Amino acid sequence: MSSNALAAVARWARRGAWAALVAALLLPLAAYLADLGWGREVLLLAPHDPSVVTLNRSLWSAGEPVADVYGSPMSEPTRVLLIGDQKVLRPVEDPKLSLLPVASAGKRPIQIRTLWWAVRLGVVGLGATSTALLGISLLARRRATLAASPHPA
Amino acid sequence: MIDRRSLIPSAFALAGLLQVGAAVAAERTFVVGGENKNSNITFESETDFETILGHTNTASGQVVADLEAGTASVDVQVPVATLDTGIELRNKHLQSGDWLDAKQNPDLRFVSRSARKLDDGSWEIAGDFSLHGVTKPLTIRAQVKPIPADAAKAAGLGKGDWLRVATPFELQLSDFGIEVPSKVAGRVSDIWKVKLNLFVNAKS
Repeated sequence: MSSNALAAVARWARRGAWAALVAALLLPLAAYLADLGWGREVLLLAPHDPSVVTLNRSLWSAGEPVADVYGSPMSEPTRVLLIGDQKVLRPVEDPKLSLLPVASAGKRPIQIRTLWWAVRLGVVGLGATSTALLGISLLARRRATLAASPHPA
Repeated sequence: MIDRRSLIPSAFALAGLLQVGAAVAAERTFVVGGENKNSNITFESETDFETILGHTNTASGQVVADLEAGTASVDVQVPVATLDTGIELRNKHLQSGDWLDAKQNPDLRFVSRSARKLDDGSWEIAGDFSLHGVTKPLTIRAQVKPIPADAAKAAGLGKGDWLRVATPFELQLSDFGIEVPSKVAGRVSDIWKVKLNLFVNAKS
């Protein structure tokens, strides 16, 4: 390979390494902004049959858990992405609660923790790519320098 | 002529029979499942990747209880094939031989060995829980609330008296010989939090 071709490889590998590094840094920022803009905390629950909800509401008294009236809730709230107000249930017994009924297959929301899991994977992948491209760039530059240097007589 | 003295032991015997009859009458049988969709059984797995909330409305069995005396026996079964995790492919994996093996072990089952009433609404029930062909002892705390027939009818639940039985408990899958497959390791927890919300209907 000529010194010019090696120099071009070194240049493009260096650019690629920088691009991967910048992407690795931007990914967490993008996830953070997505969470800030479209994330919300909800209590996922498997909804009860409407007759059970009616009955539970008639039997409910102040101080008892509210989410259990409407379904079987998870033990902790979950941060989810892209869930509109119309899908969230705000019980009259406690309007501060945000309940998200998840009834059937294929209707599950994207969870913020899944997004961060993907981000971690992406950062590791991009970091590894950046390191590899930087290595290729250094190697190609060294070989280009060697190829360009005059041979001893 | 009737000898009055011979009547006295008979009267005691009759009174005894009536007491036994009253005790038997206080013990009632409640049916789990059947046509109603009122049961709500959930299981929860939490990992760094995601939280899974699975559920089913299908359960069968019966509860025989004397709420006054504080005695009860429970036998509840949940078909593995009805467990819904929210993703069809994951449901197939869950029911496959790698996981719960629905073909070989079609039901989760809890059969009580003893039960005692702790207070007005709380019960401690000890029994055996079967999953994946393995049976382990399990003690649960259940909240039991009688639902009057008129309240149940008004809500559209159905005829007769009902009981609402709610109990949370935890299962460790590895205790039942279930290993989380390596390809999904980190995405599904070995510990599942289970909640049973059962509406059981008194046999008429």
